[in-house]
Amino acid sequence: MPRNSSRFIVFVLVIAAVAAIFAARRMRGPKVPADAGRASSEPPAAVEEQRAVVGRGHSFQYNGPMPTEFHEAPELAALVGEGKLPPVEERLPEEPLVIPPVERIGKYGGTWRRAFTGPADGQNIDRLQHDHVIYYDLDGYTLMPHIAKSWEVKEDGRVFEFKLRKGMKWSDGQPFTAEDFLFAHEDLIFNDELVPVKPMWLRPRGQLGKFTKVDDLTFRYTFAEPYYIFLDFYGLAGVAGQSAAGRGLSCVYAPAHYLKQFHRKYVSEEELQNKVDEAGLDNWVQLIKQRGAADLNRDLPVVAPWKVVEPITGQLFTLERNPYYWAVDPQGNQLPYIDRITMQLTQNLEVLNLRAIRGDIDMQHRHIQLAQVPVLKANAAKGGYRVLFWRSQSGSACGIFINQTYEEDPEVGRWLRNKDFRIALSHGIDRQALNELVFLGTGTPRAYLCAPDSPYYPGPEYENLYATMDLEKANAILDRIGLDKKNSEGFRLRSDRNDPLVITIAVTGDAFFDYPGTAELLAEQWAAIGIKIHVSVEERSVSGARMVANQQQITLWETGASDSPFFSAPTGSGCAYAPLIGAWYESGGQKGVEPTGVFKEMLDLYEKGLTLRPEQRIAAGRKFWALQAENLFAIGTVGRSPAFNGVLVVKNNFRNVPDEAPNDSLLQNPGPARPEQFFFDN
Amino acid sequence: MLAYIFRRTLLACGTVLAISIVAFMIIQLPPGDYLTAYIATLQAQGDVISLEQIAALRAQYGLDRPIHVQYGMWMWNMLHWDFGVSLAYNRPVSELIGERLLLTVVVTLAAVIFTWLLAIPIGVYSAVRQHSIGDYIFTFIGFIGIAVPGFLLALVLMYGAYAWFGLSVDGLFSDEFIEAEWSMARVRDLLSHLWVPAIVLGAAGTAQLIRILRANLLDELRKPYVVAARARGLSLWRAVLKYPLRVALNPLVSTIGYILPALVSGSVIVSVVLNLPTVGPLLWRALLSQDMYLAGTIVLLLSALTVIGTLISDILLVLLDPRIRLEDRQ
Amino acid sequence: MSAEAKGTGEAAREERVLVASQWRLIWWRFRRHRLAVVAGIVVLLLLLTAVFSDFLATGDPRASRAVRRHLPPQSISWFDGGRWSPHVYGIRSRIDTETLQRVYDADPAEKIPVRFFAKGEPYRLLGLIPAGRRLLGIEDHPTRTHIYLLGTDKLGRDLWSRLMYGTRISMSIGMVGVMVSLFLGVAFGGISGYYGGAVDTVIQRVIEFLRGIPTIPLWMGLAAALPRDWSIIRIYFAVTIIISLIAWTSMARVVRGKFLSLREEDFVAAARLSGCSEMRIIFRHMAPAMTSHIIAATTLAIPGMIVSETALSFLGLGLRPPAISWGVLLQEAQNVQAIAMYPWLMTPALAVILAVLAFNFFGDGLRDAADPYGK
Repeated sequence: MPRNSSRFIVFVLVIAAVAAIFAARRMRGPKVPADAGRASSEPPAAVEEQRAVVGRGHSFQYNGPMPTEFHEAPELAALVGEGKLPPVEERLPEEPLVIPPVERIGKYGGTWRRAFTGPADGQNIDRLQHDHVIYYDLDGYTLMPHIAKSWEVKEDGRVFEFKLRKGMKWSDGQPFTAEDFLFAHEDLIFNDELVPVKPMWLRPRGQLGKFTKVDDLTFRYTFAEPYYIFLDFYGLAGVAGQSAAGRGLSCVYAPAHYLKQFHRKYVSEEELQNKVDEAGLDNWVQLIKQRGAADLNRDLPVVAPWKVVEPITGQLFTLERNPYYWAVDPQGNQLPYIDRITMQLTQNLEVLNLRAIRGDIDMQHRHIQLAQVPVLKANAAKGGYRVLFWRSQSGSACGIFINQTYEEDPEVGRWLRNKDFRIALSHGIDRQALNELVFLGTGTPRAYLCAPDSPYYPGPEYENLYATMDLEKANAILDRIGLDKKNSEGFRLRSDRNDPLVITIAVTGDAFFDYPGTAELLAEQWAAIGIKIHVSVEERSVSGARMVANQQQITLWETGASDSPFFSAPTGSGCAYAPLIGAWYESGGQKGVEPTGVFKEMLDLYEKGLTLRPEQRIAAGRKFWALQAENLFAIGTVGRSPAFNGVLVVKNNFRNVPDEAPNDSLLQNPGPARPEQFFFDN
Repeated sequence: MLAYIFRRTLLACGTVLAISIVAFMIIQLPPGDYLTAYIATLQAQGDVISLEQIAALRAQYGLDRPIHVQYGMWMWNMLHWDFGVSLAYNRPVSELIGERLLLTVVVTLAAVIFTWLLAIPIGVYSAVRQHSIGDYIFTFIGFIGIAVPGFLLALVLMYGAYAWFGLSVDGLFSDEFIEAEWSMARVRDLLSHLWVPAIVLGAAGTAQLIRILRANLLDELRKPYVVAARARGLSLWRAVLKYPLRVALNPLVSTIGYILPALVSGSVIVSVVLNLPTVGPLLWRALLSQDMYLAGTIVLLLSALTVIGTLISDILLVLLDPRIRLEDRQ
Repeated sequence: MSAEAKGTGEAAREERVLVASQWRLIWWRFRRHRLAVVAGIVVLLLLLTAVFSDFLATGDPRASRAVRRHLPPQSISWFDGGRWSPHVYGIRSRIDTETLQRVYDADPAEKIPVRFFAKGEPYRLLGLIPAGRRLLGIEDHPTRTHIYLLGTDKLGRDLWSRLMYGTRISMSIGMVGVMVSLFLGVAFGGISGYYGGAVDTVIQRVIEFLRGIPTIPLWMGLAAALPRDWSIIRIYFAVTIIISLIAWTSMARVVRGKFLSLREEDFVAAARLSGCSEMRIIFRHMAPAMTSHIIAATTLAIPGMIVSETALSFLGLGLRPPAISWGVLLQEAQNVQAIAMYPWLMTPALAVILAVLAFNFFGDGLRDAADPYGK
């Protein structure tokens, strides 16, 4: 053989040998232990608490003495010394909000590094700002004063009066008064050009409420009927927080002194058109909306703890301390402790999680994926951070919504509406497997219900109602209701022709949770009871549009909006289990399908609940959950897990973060934990 | 000669126009529009938005008008250098592209330089020592670039850099320098981050270049003048480098025309994975959210670059190689 | 050896070269390129794997088992105390509540024999031929049914079996796609090159137009327009066609180039002068000269199809679970925890690398061998 070829063969063999050795070492199989003791595989046990849980039972309500001396951050003190800022006593209101810290009094300083995914990720910052008028305590239930100093409910729940803090100022030093609320209601919300459809919370049962300014520090809402639940709505981000609601101009307060210059009522047409042209926009509505969005416009005065320095449309979204923030700690230190927040644009979620693993993120839960927990924990010591779980208090990260108003394929629609069919489906789910594979064992298999410690809990008999795996029972039910004929592969046939009944589960691929993987598992599990599933992975916008158009059969999405059933009633076209009913309610009967039977009962409970006092509301709420659990419009899988935006990465020197907190999207975590009292302990 | 150039330029303009129509249509192909994406985002946040609000927003954004009207408006504005406003960013498209253009060019140049640095030596060696062990080894290395999936390689490199060396290599700048002014320190920071994209993107182009170079050089080396030079005692390397290499590099010049659009478009995936502040991820986001003016403008820009690139390549070829000129006349 | 015998040997060899057919010449030239020969063998192995993937797999690639998630690869021990007795160890697992991982230990006391051509769950080879035996497997064991040669993925599915089935889909996308490109490329390239003139210009401009459209937006638009209720098979074919829509342009350019240069050749002029019809000239004289080049170009186009398929999967546009392809498998490996903690999930990348390199070197070798002007 020629010399070259033999040399080549030797070379190849050497390379192959090296590669094989390398591969063998990298991929050793399960190690053989010294002792052959058997450790059987069991369902995961609960995590035992070995150390004290930070923040357990903490409340942000403060009943101690008001501080008499006030202090501020060194850099602000320097500005005061130079005469660029008034002294801290003049910047704070007469009675600032006092926030007792979770662990201890903090230190000033530091830059809080986070990551965001683009201009659409506004919630990333909204959740930290929570500049609401009233807000929830750490327990997720109790409403507390926030911007408002106090409130009163009068006339059997028809009138709500709020008192503001005297001397409170905007971030540019201008006074913050009820005038700003009046401007927001009269000129923004009630202006049909700007807000063509009035917010739902302002018109219970279709009747628009009234807003009155009583004096500079007091304003009130007046409704035609009792509307006690108004306070619950008022504590929500989308309602009364400028950071979140401002960009739609539907926030209850707005900086009148700043926004008036962009409003048609106060500026001449010509001048306004000039401003519109200068900004390169089309009309004044676009202009004022842009100027009123806190994350786009750094000139907008705010009352949030941090104000925007670099807008969200850049590479590094930056915010700095608001020198006029109106809260202090019990020792009189003006909050926030942390100087600035920087968010780096990271479109790719893998890179975002990699940054967390590297310790380049100081505290974040948004976009951190549960599946990364093993790597996060393995690198925790090297990266200098800890991993916390904030569990969902309601429902689960993955609810199976079964569209009750589906019409496109009458045969499929008929079965979806059949309660026994749904019960059989529920019994066919192996929730233990789902818990282990998708939730990494962090959840509890149960029905779709609020947590047992919620006031609206209907009772322990509902905890596992239909939520146990029982293939025999499921098969028996399906045989009984008329799906007894099967084809050669074992799939049940439709009742109208000889094809297998195929049901489509629609999921989105780019959400905070692995819905496609879960849908695959469900398809596998339901194949065992003879139901053929087609999984359709759609883009989120497409999926949402199809749902509103009543085209989806089964969708998977989180059910953990809130434990209060009054936030999950079918009142809007976005209701995944009854879009047409929601459309009916939302349009006042113009569109959609009129509710009957259970839906009518639910909506009646909802409407009644709007008018009842909190204590009386509880019975209605419990009945509502009981109806949900009995009818399985949404089937629960695994609940009380941190899977949906509940995994926190917190650097070890980042303190005052509670180890546990309720995690539901309407609470807008980490808001209830009061980020303005987080600090860097260096 | 001039007539040829003129004719080709005219045809190029026509092609670009045709592509603009196709581009606009492609962006609209997925069901829905920018608003459906925006609404879905709102709904995911738990915000409630009603059908009436949706209709009002649609009218506001001008999305309720028929497609050809929207296209016409877009084209008309473009002739006035107004490329529209990005619906997601709420900023003019030209601004968004402009601030990323410099870095895109830098990354592309770095990748091209890497490609040439790798491909030229390998190509030369491969041609001179054909079928030797060295030939096989180097060709193997050169071809790894197109074989390894770029997105996986990027992620592995990023993780590996951290796990084994403690480096953070995603993006192009460290935190402090992202929005800072240009300075020597910033340039140094950029260079320290540039090697990962240069390698991942550059490796993908080496195979093609090696092939072309090797083929051309082999052709040259068989020519009588080379044989004669060797016979007269000129060493192999001098004989190769002195003249044949230069001739073999000629066609390479014509490939320059393809480089910019290919790298900007083909690198979208890797740029997204590496989180680079270039045009690629911008296009990606725009396509996903159906931000039509932004996506449309970038697509048009890319296609225009491609067509112009082809044009330049063809013209360069004609200029550099007299044989083609003569053939064309025939 | 005497001078005479040497002379005869050489003369005989020369004689053989002169009378050898074109294909034999190509084969001789190809054989000298060692790397291409090795690559050719690899290509053959890949094709065989694609055909016999059911046989080579060790189980059902879709069966998930929660208690086996992220199992590291299980090696087979071939000898037991000196005797030939391939076996695997039993697996004990528990959950580490701190890291939320499943931890596995092999049980040295339990040795489960592994057999070649083991009888297992019945399957259908290529979906048609019923069969029962697989290359490797565990027979008649009360608790164990699977060998996990490459470990499992996040849902506890056997990666080796998934890789086998993935090879079939990915290779066939390459083949089918290339056939489509070949057909379109030869047709348009041939017409363009042969007729020249206006036809040529029009087709060239169309090609330029198609190449000018950025690929990713084009793919996204087309893939998003596909109806959502299509079965996996239909999406698979649609994906293949989408990829070929651009790929055929390179083929057309090659064919056109060849036609243009062959047109000027002496033998074509001679054929024309001796009165052959156009058809005869094309098919009897020009085609054979081009075939080898076209085969080479086709082979070189396959890696592009494979890579495009993985790119489409990354973009979420191509095949998706529950379909299995290299692209789908790579998607499941495209995350930090796979790279950091479960590196065996990246083996499909090795398959891709191997396939792309093999086809490239094989194609290069073919092209060099087919080039009549080469050394």
